[in-house]
Amino acid sequence: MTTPRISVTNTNQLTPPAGLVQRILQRIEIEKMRQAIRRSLMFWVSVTCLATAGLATAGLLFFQEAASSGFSTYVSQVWALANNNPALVFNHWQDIVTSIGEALPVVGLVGIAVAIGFTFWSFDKVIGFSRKWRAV
Amino acid sequence: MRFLGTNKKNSLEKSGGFDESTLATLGDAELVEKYRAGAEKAFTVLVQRHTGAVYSFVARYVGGGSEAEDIVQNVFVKVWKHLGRFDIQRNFRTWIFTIAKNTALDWLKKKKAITFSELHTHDDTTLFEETLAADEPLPSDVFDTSRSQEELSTALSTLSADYRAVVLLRLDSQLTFREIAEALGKPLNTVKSHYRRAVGLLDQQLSRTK
Repeated sequence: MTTPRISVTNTNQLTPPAGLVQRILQRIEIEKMRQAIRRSLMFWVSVTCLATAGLATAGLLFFQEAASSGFSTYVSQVWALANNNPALVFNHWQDIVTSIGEALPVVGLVGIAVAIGFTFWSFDKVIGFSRKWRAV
Repeated sequence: MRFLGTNKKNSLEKSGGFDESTLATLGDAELVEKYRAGAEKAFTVLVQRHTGAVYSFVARYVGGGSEAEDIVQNVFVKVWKHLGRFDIQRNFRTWIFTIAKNTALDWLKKKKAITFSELHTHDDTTLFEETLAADEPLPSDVFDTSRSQEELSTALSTLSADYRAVVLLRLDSQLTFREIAEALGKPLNTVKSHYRRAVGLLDQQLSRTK
């Protein structure tokens, strides 16, 4: 059974409102922006997670290094000495400072400083892109 | 990584080396290929080409109003999002009407504004099949231009969503039955059956308003 192809000329297509094509294209541009912001946000959220994990690791390494180099022991001894005989510490402060500097776990300190800086920077990016996401 | 504001293609690059008038002569499948190759203006041409038909279908399907424009915008956003996965072998027009119909239907469901004709069930049976006239009126009789758009909209709103889609795609968007079957994902004979019944129902409805 076939249905005859009926030629219809009487129905008129409704005319779209003026400027609809432009509004559609603008809407698509907005969607493109949203997609780009979403990609950036996901990237920086991932970076922040990694940076936080890195910060924890750097903190752990710092304390391990401080313990192995004797830095924490030395500082606590100086502190105890300062409480018992502050004049002695005051008279030899240059030697004490030099000794503390030599025992300082520099690598761990630098690592923790970099990790803190990087974590805050990536978190700032996340905040920035979140604001852009809400604005679009 | 590309971030915001780094798209610095010039106009010629956006059109893939073609101007808009040249792109306008290409078929839908070719425009999709050009767009995938980086000619962003090819998508603009697709939008310009199909906005009228999609708007007319959606506006009649949902009963007019400002919502039709929002729905049409959503349709083209979905088309843009999924254009990368579109199968070039398919008919682009039927694909876009599939999206339009589904988007409009989702809107109707959200608004709980779907009207279901009491005469029809969802499994293609009708309680009043025997009472339908053997000779259904030709659509040209039903859609007499002497009728107002309002009469037509009112009559269309009494049809079920499925019947309304078939009638509008056939008479408003001028798709063939095969294309309608493809767009709606229904068998060809079901589409033809829906169409005949829908026209009959419309005639009954419009006869009451004469």
